[in-house]
Amino acid sequence: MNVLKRELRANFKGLLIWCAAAVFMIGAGMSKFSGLTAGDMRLNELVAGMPKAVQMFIGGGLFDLSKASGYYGMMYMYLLLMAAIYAVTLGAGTIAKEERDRTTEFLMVKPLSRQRIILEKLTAVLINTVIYDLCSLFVTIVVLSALDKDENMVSSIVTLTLGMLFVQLIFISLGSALASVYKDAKRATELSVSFLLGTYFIHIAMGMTDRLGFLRVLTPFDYFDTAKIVSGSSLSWEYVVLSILLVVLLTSITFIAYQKRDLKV
Amino acid sequence: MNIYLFELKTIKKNTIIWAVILSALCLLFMSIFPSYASNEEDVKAMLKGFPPEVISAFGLNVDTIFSVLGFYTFTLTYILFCGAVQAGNLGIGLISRENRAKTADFLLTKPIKRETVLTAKLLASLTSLVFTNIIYLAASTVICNMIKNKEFDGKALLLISLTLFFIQLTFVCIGTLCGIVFHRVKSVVTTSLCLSFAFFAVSMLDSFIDKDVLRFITPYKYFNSALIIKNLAYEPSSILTVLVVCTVCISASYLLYIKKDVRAA
Repeated sequence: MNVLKRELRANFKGLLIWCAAAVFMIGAGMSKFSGLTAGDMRLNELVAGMPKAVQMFIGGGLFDLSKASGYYGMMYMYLLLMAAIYAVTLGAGTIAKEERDRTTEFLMVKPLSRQRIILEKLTAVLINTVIYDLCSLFVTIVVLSALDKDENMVSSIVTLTLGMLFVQLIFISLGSALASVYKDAKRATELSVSFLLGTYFIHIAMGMTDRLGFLRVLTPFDYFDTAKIVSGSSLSWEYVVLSILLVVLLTSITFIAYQKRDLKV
Repeated sequence: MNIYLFELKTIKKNTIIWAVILSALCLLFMSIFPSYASNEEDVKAMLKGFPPEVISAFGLNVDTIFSVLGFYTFTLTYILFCGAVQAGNLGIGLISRENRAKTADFLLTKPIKRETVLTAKLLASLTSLVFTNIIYLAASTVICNMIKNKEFDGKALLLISLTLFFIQLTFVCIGTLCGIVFHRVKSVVTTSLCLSFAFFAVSMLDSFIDKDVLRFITPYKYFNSALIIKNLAYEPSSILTVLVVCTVCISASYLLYIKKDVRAA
């Protein structure tokens, strides 16, 4: 329990900063929303009929920008990227920091198994992530219902946030797995950041053309279709299963690799 | 001179990797262009029913969005984001690397002034940037010429690609200052990613912050590609902003670093 408490305390300041940043992003981003006039609506429909890449070029073509939920859908990808960055720094950082800060020996001489240490550390990370998500969920619901009173979008916001949590879990387990496998803390964080950016750029490239659909498995940013969720559907179960499998696989790697590993002292 | 050479050796591998990554990113995005451009006729046909004023009010210029340069400008946003991470790494790592590796006392007991140390390190970063950008300029020119469907202005392409250099330069300077001010930077890559993303996110908030103010706040908005294509020159204010920001950051870095209390290992 002590490791868990200590981790929570160490991550607390970071959590506050990230939550504040999320609140700012949601608030500032949504302030752009004003509801389009009827004249623009016609153009909106026109844009909806255009090829994917052109829509992306114009921005927000996939969403109904006359509704607050559509507006949120357009912004969601930035919020997701932000959440993923937070997740990957947490996941890789929590394992890598002991060796980077030269506190491994101090921790390892405690009468705790390595499994136990990892378990408590990952639990702390999970708690942090859930708090972050709840915070962003709460703010989103408050802001969106203030902007658009007629529309009931709580369920789609909850679904989107749930999708965000899945993506974060993938990146947390990826970061911690890499940090357990690689001895060099710097290398591990570099690699997990590269994975994050790589998958993000694949997501961007996929948005520009319809021909790259087969790459969807590769990028968690595309596992859950934002446009569909905003218009009312739920998370696609294939990708929920895939996410869970990935998380289980990567977390097992973390436990196994860390157990065997030669620690740098 | 020794420090300069040593630094160059340290960042050599990273520089090559980043130059390749940026060029590959350009290739990835631009390879989508041919399939994207094939939509031109359809979109033009769809837009026929709309009065030109409405279309231009929506920011829709068909000739621009289907030109090589228009598409390139669009993809450059993401390449700049990636380039900013590289530059941030260079800047933040510059001084904080010594603290983390506990080599600050080794370096500073050499009979060299701190100013000289910082100058040598900055020059090494500059060299790395110049190298990266030469590779990138060559790659982007070749790629754009390979995929073009009609002639475009080579000078405009060069000027637009060169904005990468100026923006990276700004990020190196901001990063250097951050590396000196926050003496407890733990992980260079994650800090740099957060720095680049923060500015990236702010540049999306163009309604919350006034557009004319925003272009001085976030480096991604210093240059206006549409105007560069039109005038075939940079706006004086763009260059001036880069100069002012860099000068301020670098002078502050010198002042702070000279007086800084460096912790010995």
